[in-house]
Amino acid sequence: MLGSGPAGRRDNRPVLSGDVRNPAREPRSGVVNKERTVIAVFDAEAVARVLAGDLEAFAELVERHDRSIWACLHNIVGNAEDTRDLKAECWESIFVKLREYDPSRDFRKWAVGFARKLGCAALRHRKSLPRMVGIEFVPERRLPTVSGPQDEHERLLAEEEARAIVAPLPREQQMAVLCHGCDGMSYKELARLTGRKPGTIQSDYRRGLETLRRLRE
Amino acid sequence: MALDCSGYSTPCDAELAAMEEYIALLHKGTEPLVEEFLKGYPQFAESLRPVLEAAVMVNHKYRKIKARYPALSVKRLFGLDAAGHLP
Repeated sequence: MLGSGPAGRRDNRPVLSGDVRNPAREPRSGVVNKERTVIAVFDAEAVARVLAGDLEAFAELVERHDRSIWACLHNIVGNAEDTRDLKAECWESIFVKLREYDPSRDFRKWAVGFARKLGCAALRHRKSLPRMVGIEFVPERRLPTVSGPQDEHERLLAEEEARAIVAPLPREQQMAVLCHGCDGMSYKELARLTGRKPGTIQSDYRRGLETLRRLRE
Repeated sequence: MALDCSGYSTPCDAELAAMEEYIALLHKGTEPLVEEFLKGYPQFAESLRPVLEAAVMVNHKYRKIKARYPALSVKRLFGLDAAGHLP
């Protein structure tokens, strides 16, 4: 039977109680160590029995260390649903790798090591999901509102590419060609923004196009 | 069809008006063939052809970039979005 840990314990590892696991007194470090030594012997025996084909022995191991596995996984992934799935996966891994268990080692620590690896892997996978969602499912009209370093970098690249189209022209002609000819801005609007006359901008536009055509030949 | 230039002060204005007509069609996405369009303005065919061909070329390149990055703003590129004047 498993009991709850004493007050002040930093983790929620179970303190075993009943027969050898129930000293019927306040657990002190010496007692806990003695208990663990006994349990380690039981664990080593159980593992040997499992390897000999006794599946009941594996159920004993699960009963004894299930809470440690649960606590470790829950601390990492933070929710019961994932913890339940991962716990089953963890015990499966332990069963498969049981031949690699060294009986001189603490079985609980060895088993919790599996839980830690699985929990961390699940966490890494979960962190990668939002990026995938961002790429796949965010509607296009929302993209301009997303501003991150990657977005800024792409914007600068796009601006550089746009400027490269009209690179051989003077700045005024570049503006006229891109703002009026490509973006559809009116001469009046462009004149308001630049403080130049609409007729001058129209001339710039035409001259810019003529230059580009000439350079292309 | 020959253009009636009587409403323009100089023939050059009529030519510019024809150019603007074509640019307006480009912006609408109609994009008629330059040669077809110039049939309506034979008197400007030689002078307008290179200009309109250049306009088509530049528009194609710009649209490709805009398709990849819809947020591209030429106002921002030239610093016209915030200040309202040349930087």
